[in-house]
Parts: sequence; C-alpha cells; structure tokens
Amino acid sequence: MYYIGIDVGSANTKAVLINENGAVAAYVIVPSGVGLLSAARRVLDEALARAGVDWDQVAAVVSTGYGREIVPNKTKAVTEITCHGRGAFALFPHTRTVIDIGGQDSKAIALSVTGAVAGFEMNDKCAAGTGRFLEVMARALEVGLDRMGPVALTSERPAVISSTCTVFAETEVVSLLAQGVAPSAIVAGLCNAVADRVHGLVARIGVRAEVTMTGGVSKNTAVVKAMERILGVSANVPEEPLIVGALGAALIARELGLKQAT
Amino acid sequence: MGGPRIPIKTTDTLHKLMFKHYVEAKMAGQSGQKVAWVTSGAPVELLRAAGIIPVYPENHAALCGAQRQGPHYCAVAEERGFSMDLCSYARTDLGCVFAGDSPIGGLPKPDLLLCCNNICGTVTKWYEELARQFGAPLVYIDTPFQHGDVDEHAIAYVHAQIEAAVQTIGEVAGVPFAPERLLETVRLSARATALWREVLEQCAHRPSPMTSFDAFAHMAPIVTLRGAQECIDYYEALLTEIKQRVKDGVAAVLEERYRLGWDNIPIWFKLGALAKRFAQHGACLVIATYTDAWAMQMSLDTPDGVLRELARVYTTVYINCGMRKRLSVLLGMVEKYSLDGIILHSNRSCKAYSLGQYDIARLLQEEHGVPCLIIEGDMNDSRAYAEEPVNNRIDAFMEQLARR
Amino acid sequence: MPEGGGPIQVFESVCEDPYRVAREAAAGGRSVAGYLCTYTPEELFHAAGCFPVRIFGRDKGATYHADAHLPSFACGFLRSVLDMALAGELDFLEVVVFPHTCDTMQNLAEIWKHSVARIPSITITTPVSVGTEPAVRYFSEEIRRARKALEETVGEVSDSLLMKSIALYGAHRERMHRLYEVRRAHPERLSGRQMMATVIASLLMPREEHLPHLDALLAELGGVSGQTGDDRPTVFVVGNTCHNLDYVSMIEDAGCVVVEDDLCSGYRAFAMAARNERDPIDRLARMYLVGTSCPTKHQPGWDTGKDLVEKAQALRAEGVVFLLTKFCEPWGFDYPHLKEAFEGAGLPTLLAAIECNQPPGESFRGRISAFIEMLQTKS
Repeated sequence: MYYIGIDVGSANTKAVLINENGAVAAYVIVPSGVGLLSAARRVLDEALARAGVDWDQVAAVVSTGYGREIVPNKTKAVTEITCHGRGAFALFPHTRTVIDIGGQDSKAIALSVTGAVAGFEMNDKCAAGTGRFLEVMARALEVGLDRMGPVALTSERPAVISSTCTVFAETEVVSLLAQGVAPSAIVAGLCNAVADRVHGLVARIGVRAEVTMTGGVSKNTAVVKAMERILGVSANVPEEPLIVGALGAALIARELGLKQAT
Repeated sequence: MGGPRIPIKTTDTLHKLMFKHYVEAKMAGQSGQKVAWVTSGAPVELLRAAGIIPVYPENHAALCGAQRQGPHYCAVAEERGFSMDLCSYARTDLGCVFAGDSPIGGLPKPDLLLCCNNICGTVTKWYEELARQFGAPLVYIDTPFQHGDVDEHAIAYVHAQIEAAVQTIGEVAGVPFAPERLLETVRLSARATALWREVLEQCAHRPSPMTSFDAFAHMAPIVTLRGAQECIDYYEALLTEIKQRVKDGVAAVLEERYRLGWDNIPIWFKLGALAKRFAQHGACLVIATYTDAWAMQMSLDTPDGVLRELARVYTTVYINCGMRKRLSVLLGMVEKYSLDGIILHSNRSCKAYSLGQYDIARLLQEEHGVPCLIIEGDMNDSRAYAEEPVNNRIDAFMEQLARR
Repeated sequence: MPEGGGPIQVFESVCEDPYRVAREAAAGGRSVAGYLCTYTPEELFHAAGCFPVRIFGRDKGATYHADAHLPSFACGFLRSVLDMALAGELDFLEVVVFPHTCDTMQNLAEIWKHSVARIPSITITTPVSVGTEPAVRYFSEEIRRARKALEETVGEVSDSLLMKSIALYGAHRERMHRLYEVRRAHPERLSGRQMMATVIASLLMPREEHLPHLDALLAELGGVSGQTGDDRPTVFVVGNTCHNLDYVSMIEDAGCVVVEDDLCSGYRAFAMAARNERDPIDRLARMYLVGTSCPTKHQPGWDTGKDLVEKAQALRAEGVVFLLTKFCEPWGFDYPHLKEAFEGAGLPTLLAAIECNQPPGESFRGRISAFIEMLQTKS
C-alpha cells in the first residue's frame, strides 16, 4: 500500500508518495498556475507514474496548503502547520523548531520532543520576511531570484535595510543604488532583513534546538546563514525544502490508512 | 544662506543636568531614597514633596529613540507578545525592562509607580504591566477627558484621587504628608513652568532665536525636574541666553523665510535630518503643542487649596481636551507666533494625539486659511518611518508656501 | 439542536441585517439611541423611552468615508461605525452615546461632533478607575447630567421609570446567565453560532422583544443536569467585540466547541450584577463600575489573568482563542500576560486577529484549524 501527501500552494503544488514503511517512492513539484485543481491532478498522476504505482494501491491521501480543500478524493485536509511539523521531524528527528519561509508567508512551529505541534506563529499578511520580498527586490536589482543567495555571500559588508515594509524597502534599495552602494552589499542586506523579520516570528514561540528550515527561501544560503547567526544555532536544511509539507501530509495519510486497516 | 548657525551654549548644561538626574536616581538605593516611575503628565509635585526621586520612562524611551535604539528595544517587547501596533514608548521601555539594559544601563527599580492618564489611556496599561513586572504599588490618577468646558465634577473626582494618592505616597516614602512642603514644591513647579513659557515666547520674535527642534531637547528638565530648584536654575540660564540672542538678532534658521508650528510628539530619531531639511527651505519651526504643553499656568492662591489646583492643572492639559480647545490653542499659536503653516505629525504610536488631526488640519485650512502638512511617522520606531515620502511631502509643502 | 423556525430563526434573521429592527423602530416613530460600548447605562435611555441599540459597525467592506477622518492605526470597529454614520447608514439614530472606553473612542466622540452633525451625540464619561467611591460619585454625576440632557429633548425620566427599566434589564440578564449555564453544561444542544446569534440579537432588538423568544429557547433547551456526551475539544474564546457569526462558526467547524466566550459583545455585556441601592442613579453607577471587568478599566490589585484562568479551568476548556480586533491598545497590552497565565496553567492559546472589520478568511481558517489539530493531538 502507498500513501500520498499533496501540498497545494499558491506558487507550487507538490506531491510525495510513500510506501508502508514511510520511505519516499516519488515526489513531484509543479507550478500551481491559476488552475489549482488541474495542478493537483497533474502532480498526483505524475507521482504515481514515476513510482510505477496504480491508484488502487493508494490507501489514503492527505492534502495540505492553501488549496487543500479543492483536492478531490482526499481522506483528509490538514493544515501546513501540522504537516510541516511532521515532515521536518521525520527528516530530522531532533527538530524542536521549524522555520518555514515560503513564497507568500512564513511560519515558525514549535515541536514537542515527540514531534507534536506545541505552538506556532504565522505571518501571512505581510510580504516582508517571505519569498515575495526577495522576488520584488530581485526584480528591482535585476538579479535572478536563485542568484540572490550566492551574490549575497560575496559581500563582506552588507548594507543595512531598515524598512520592515516591502514597499518602503524597495525605495530604500533604489536610494542605496543611487548612492553607489554595491548591489552585492544590498542583496546581502536584503537577505539579512528577511532573516531579521522571520526571527521576530520565531522569538515569539521560543527557539529550541534543533532548528530545521523549510520552504523555498531556505534554498537561499545567505538567508539560512543569517538566520543561524541571529539564532546562535545551526539549522538543518532538507535536500528538497519544498516538499516537507507534502511529506508530512503523506506520513499523516499513512497513519490514517494504517489505523483504518486495524 | 550665509554663515554658520550659532549653537545654544546652555545645551552643555542640559546634558550635565540630565546625566546628574539619572545618576542620582540610580544611586537612590544607596542613599536610602525611594524611586518612582512617573508618567510625564502626572502631579509629580506629590512625589518631590515626599522626597521620592521621580524618573520618567517616557523620557528614557525618547532618549533610546534619539539614539536610534528604538527598534532594538521594541523588538524585545514584541518577542514577548506586545504587538508592533502598540505605543513605541511603551514597547521601548518594556523592552529595556525585559532586556535589563538600555543606552544608560537601564532605569533603577521603582519603589512606586505614579500613573496619570491625562496624556493617554495607554499609560494605564503600560503601568499595569510595570506593576506586574516589579511588584511595586501603582498609584493611579484617572483624569476624565474634557470634551467641552472644564467640568468641575471631573476636577472634584481628580481632587479626591489626589488626596488618596497622598496617603499611599506617604506610606511608601515613610514620611507623613507635609502640606507646607507640597506648597513649596508647587511654588517651584509654577516658577519653572512660567520660565519655560517665557523661553518659548522668545520664539515669537522674528527671526526666532531658537527652533522647536532645540526646544524638544531643552524640554527635558521641565518634564523630569519640574518641582526641583535645578529646573528653575536651568531655565533662568537658558532664558538669559535666548533673550540675548534676540537682542543680538541671532537667528536659529539663517535667512528665516517661513515660520511653522509642529503638532504631536517629535520624531526622535530624525530631529537632525528634519531640522536640516526645514532650514534648507528657510523654514523655522518656532512653536510646538508638545513643548507648550508643559508651560502650564499654576496658581498658588486658589481658595480651594493646592491639591485642587493640581487637579485642575493636570486635568486640563492640551491632550486631555477636545478638538475645539486644541483648535483654539493652535489658532492662538498662529496668531502669537506669526505662523505661515503647521506641520502635523501623524504619530502611529499615539492615538491620543493623532486621532482628530485630519479634521483639525481641514478646519485650519478651510476655515482659517492656515496651510497644514500631515506627515506620517512614529516617535520612536524608525521601522514605521519612510524618509523619502516624508521628505517629498515637506518639499511639496514648502513649494506650496513659496507660491503664496 | 434547534432547527428551523422558533427563537433561533428570529435571532439569526436579526443578525443577518443587524440594524433592521432599529430602522423599523425609527420609521415607526420610536427614538433610537445608538451605543458603542458595554459601559453605557442603557437603562437610562430605555427609561427615557428610547430603544437603545448596540452599534457594531459593519463586518465587511471598505471605509473610504472614515479614512478621511481616521488614520490607518485606528481600530476597524470604530472606523466602520464612523463610516456608516458618514455614509448615512445610521440616520435612524436619534442620538449616539459615547462612553469613555479608550483613546480612540474619546477622539471619535470629538470627530463625530464636528463631522456627523446629523446625529447628535451625548458623552457619558465613564471613569477608567472602577470600584472606587470617587469613581462611583463621578459616574453618578455623569449619569445625572445625561438624564437632564434627555429630559430636555425626549421628556421626563422619573425615578420610577428608571427603576422599571433597571428591573427589565436585570430580568433579561438573569435569563442570559441561565442560558450561559445551560450551554456550559450542554453545548451539544446549542451550537456556538446559535449561541452567538442569541447574544448579538439581544443587543440589536428591544430587550422586551428579545425576552419572550429567549424564554422559549430556554424552555426548549432544558436544564443543566445530565452528561453532555460531546467529546470535541473545548475552546474558550476571549476578546473584544465581534458580531459576525461566521467567526464562531469557523472556529467550531475546525472541530471544536466554543464552550464559552468572554467577549465585550458577549458575556461581558451581561456581567453587571443586580444591586439594591434605593437611588436608581446610584444603583446604575455601581452596577456598571463595581464587579465588572474589562481591559479598558483599571482596578488596583486586579489579577485578570488569574480570574480568566480560573474561569477556563471551571469550564474545563482545553484551549483559549484570543479573538481580537487589531489596533486595540487595551487588549494589546493585556494579551501577553493573559497568554502567559493561560499557558502557565497548561492551556494552549491562539491569537486570531480581526482586521479592518473584515469577515474571516483563509488566513483565519488556517490558523484555527492548525490550533484545533494541535489540541486534538494533545488529547
């Protein structure tokens, strides 16, 4: 029997297929586009195809993410908080704090010693401290989004970005460029700003080692390093940070499937 | 604009005086004196008369703001769950309390808290949190908002609370209430506020010898040392110097072309930059409602006695009064100080001061022809301040004045 | 659970169009007095022949009119009230009553005087200090002054009329307490939404009209005895004002039962205890100032954290949801120590903000779902 976790986000839709032992058989990431339903279908079909598995071998499906309700034939919809917590704990069993910096929002999740969610804080209203902030700035600086990390790491004296608001920060960036500040210093400053903003969120639930970072922005090494520096503790980063939520959902699906079977 | 600006010499004394104030308070434990944390609009005379040393978290917070430490300490409070939408003075102060430090090493622990809500309702909650943190008794004086003409029943209510406060203060200080000492302290306060008023009035001269930016610094003693002899000594010295500047025609803004008023608490972390920008336009901020608020008239000869007078003075401060009163104060300033316009700081941290400014600005402009500019900011939290847009607005406003 | 028809349908219909009853009353010639905060002595206005109706503002939509008078950092609740007034949606009001609640309320009273000339206002400056004799004396004076103002416009407000109104409101409060008791014991008999509809409707219709429906509902619901059998996690909702039933629905739909509320627009609206002072003004002043509790009030030695924790424990709540309108300064300062008190007593908490008086959306749903999932895992 197999179990599926599907994470329908506003930017990307992800599916993870696991077997009875909880091992990952396949995972798929596609851009969500405007048709969440078709993205969901595609990602599910693709995952099955890659693993060489049929639908009748799938015992349970758990959906998560912004579009979790629209997934058809799901066993259950579970929030990203619970799923990211589960996924991160499965990958790094000593995780007590999960920091998820996604495209649209950021979350801090406190886990108990057994991996259960003990508390959480979310920022889903403000672009600052999310991938969106870096997207906007990458455009303003004409640097590729995936180059922001490497470029930041080349700077020895990051600029200080003081605005907490994305709109204000953009004008600050323009102003700094006009003053002749090196783009790499600005990019480094922006990465620090993201980490700073997210730190505020994390501090409210309290930081406990080990810390695991998930979400697209954790692929940005400069942000991760900044976060580690501020927290004073090193952070685990999964090989594929985007699928942690879907992995957690799959593990929950497995639990539900096994419970049903008994 | 020719020539350098001549700085105000008494500023050196100011720094020494404030330093001494904080050092004395921190040494209070060693000298056996009690320390109280006080709101800026409270009847501090009650404390001084009982020999209790007052310190002012608001002044301390402003100090942090001026040193650009506002965001740092605010973040400490925010980590404890205090929302970014709350007053940044309170967040700064509580941040210092939680962190156990500040640019001056933190304030000494209070033996008593004296809170008067004439300046706003926020202080009530702020001081409740301080009471929880320190376990110190909180003496609270509720001064009802004056929506219209002065309400005698409200004054009577405040009077009754002041009488009760006197008891608690005596207990903490370990000295019985001494009416003569209080009268003497109020006499000292009244003299100080009168001197401060005279200092501010010098700015009615053209050109003005001082700007409101200078006044924001020089107001520290009237807030924190009111009721002490040093406060009088300070303002006598300052007044002498300012009067001399008037005699000598020394202008605070060289080539003063425009005279402006300021409403609301200053933007502590941008005083220098704003002063410079206005000066570049030839604009001098000559008067502010904030500095003027401590120029209260205090009478010692009222038939109902000094406690009643304290009740009256502290219940009728600018910010405890309704729009009609505020408008009349502003119009009075336009007249007395020959103002060309008014800058209203829409201070995100202060609902008490900021709510109603849009209507006041509209009334001033439409019914009285006084040009007004609203700038958005915060007194202490630079994260809520966008310099470019504010500078743009100031420039546009000055262009508007130039075309009149 | 009560289905279609009957008292719940009446209450839900009132909540659907909150000011319909007031509009109809005004059209029928009644004087309608709008009030904004629990600390308003409604009985006085009732005795003067007015229908005192609670004005909650709107629960959705933009506030362009009010934005010209209030900056972004003023709360959505009062902003939407001002907006309604400026848009002509409150013209059914004969008068608006401003108590002293907070800095925003006091300044709104001033802005109102200058910008909403159409609807006169009366200010009854409630003291911030509660439970002290000087505060009671001062508040009594304010109530006396308001009575005089009413008598000049509406007609005589005798002591005996005042006592009658006090008695009516007191009787209504007793029934509401009974309702809260029954629901505590048997949440399976009345959903959180239905409970909220009952509570909110009572503030939007004349008490004497609400009372018979309330009695009918109480008769239907039965007594407190017997086991509940409801095993959903129980949540205690605390906060300021919320009149949009969807908030409670969404909380319960996430898989819990809202066992009780401590909201300004809920439980605290009925928290005044009956008193027996002979002078009606004195009685009213003490009813509101003695024994009531709110973050906008101050009483030395209060430990609201301890009180709320005890209440949550008595209710056997498993979690606490803070339902807070953003930009509320009094609540903003109380939240950290209350959160600490609850969590110190082993009760997880969630902060759910109501922004710009908008209805609950995905963000709210996500948070509450995650919180309930957390509680479910715990149990």
